[in-house]
Amino acid sequence: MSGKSNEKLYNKMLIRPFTYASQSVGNSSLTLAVLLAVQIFMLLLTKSYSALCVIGCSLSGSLCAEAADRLYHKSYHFSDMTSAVQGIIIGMLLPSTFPPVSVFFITFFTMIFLKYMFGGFANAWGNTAAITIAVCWIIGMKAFPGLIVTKNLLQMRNPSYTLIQTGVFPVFKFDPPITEALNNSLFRILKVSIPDGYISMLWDTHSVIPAFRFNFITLISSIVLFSSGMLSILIPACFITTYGLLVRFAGPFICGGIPGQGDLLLAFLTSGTIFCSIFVIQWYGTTPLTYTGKILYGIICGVLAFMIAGCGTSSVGMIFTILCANIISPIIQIIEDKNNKKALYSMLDENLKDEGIR
Amino acid sequence: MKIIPVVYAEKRKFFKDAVNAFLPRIVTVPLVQETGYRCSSLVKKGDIVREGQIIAVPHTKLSSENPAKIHSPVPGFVEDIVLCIGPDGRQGEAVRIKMSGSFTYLGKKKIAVDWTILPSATIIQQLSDRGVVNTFKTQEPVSLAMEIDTVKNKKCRLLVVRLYDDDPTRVTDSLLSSMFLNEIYTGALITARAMNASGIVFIMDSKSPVPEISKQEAVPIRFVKINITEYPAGFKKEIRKIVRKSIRETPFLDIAADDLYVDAATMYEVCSAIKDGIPVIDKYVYISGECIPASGMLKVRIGTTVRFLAQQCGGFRVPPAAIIINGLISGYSACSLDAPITKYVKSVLFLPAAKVPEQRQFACIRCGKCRNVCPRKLTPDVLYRYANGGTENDDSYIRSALLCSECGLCNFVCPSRLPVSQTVKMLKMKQID
Repeated sequence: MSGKSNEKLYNKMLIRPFTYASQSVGNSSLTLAVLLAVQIFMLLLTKSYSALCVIGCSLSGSLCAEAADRLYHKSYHFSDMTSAVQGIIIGMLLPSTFPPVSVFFITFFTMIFLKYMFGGFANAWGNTAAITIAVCWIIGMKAFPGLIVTKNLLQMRNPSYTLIQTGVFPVFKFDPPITEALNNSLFRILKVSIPDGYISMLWDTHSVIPAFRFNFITLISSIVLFSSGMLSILIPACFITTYGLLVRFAGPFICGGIPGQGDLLLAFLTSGTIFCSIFVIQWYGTTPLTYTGKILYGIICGVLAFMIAGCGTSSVGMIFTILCANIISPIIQIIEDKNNKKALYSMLDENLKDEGIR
Repeated sequence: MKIIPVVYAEKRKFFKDAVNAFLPRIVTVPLVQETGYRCSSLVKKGDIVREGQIIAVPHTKLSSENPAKIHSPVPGFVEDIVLCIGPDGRQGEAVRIKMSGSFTYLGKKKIAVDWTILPSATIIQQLSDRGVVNTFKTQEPVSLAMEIDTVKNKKCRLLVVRLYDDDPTRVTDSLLSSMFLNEIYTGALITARAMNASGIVFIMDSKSPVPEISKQEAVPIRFVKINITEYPAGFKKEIRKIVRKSIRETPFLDIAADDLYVDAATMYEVCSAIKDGIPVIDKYVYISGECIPASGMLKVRIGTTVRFLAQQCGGFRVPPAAIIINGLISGYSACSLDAPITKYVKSVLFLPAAKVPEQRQFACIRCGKCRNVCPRKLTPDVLYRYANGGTENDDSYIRSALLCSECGLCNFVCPSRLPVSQTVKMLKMKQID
């Protein structure tokens, strides 16, 4: 044993436990950053320089806000990586047409304000990224694309296919052979087939909002995050299921179509539903704490998403959904605390007696 | 340094037999071996000591108290009284003995004492004199004699013997139970006699076969099985729950928190101390880890350094980044390779840098994992915030810290790596005070 490693032992203080069942916040933030970096790389490959510029500005705004706040809150346990992730998420949810300088200042001041108001990190009950985007939307509403789907379109059986045919969602060259291969193998067993264009939609929707584009990569990211336990699947699963059911059955019913024929692909792939359900919806501190509370929160998010974002192509629907859910979350948490206290009191005396504590 | 063949040949597999560790030339015996008692040395520099000679006695406020005495693990002479950092990280005085001379117990034939004729008071006195410490809670080792004294005044007295480890990452008690069940059984009978027990309950792994009791014992004995793969399974509350569920007859149905709970290692030592008359001068310690080429159960002299044990297991293949004593969940990290083995050490694990978890702390992210995992249905996050200047002002709510079993599950799942369990324990201690 060398003297050097001995010194290491003396200097490093460890407290139990020495093994963990969950990934640390630091590791999770790093993984989130890496997974988001894949999407940024895709933007680079597709030469979406304006989107990259917006992301760069939001990232710098977020990091500057973090650095500025650190001057005042020196005792805080901050993570630069967490701030970086927040900055990237903001940039990815903003249209690439948004003025980059405005993005920087809005991000910087909104985040500083929220940190000052709530104390930063998980103390804010409102999602910082969502609030920043909402501010951007209020200031620069014109930059956000409007709804593409109409009531008439939603009465049809496959609105997304109509949008593909009309060129709203461009079809890649590699789409027809992949679609054909899938139809001849996997879908043949299931006795279904898909038309050309859906693979393109899954790969890249060409939206001006980068977060809405690479749904396939987002799905792969979700597998990494859920399987490694970095993110809980509970809230996203409840959210997607509720939203999906409402889009499928209630959407056509409201629009005068046939219930059960709502277009799930349009809803999931064109409003940033998948991206928000993974990277935004359960940001630290914004969700209830118990399993029941989380399930309820997921279901409420799904209902709100259907009411606000509708059946797809909404540019900020998901953001306002999350903000509304954030308002409801503290109410759920108050109920949780009340129930928890009630249960605790009822078992306290009995258990203290059993423990031999008077 | 040679490698013990039995340990080395097994190539990190679980081996069946425990082996005696090599005798160290120098031992450092800390003067704190149990919670709440600091011993004062009876020897000074240059004194010659025998193997098993009492070298330190605890300070006691009352003459009726029976804390465990400390013995010289080897014959030799006292080199010095030194300051040493124990395996639990606490600094204190220690007696450093250089081995020389002949042994009193090692290599000598054991003469069994008929303990069945010994009165209760004599057994208790001998347990104290021979330094037996109850390691049921490895974080708080206490003199067995003192615990028996406390339990004796109860109307219904049960002896509960845990035959497995409370920390699932440790295997010492499980191994001892499989290797020395007869000795542990005898130790339990001796303890039951000392405390005039109403009954003995052995809590064992559900996968282990129930041993046959050949003769009628003076006290009723029951074996209760528990699934030890479900953590926590080795704490008092869980044990009481399974006993009440499994045995629906008195006196077992009246099992309480203030009965005597002991582990397999303690019962083995009781047998050795009373039946064979050998004081606690050595311990069975399970040595493992990826840094060493072999793992195994070694019978180690108290005061042997961790470094010496690692050398016997083949030396370090990889430099250890952490030395974990008594398990990954409920143990502690020794800050030096020169940390000595004490009476409460059950296992030593050498962790390479790659296996040392990241412990950088973040603010609470309010994920709720600690609440959802707590077996006592507590709210560790609220208690943690309160202890750190939070605003919770409901006394009853804070009083719930008393129910914490210190299983450490809240720490185990915390993504922010906060010392939640330690903080709740601190609150608990405040409440008790």
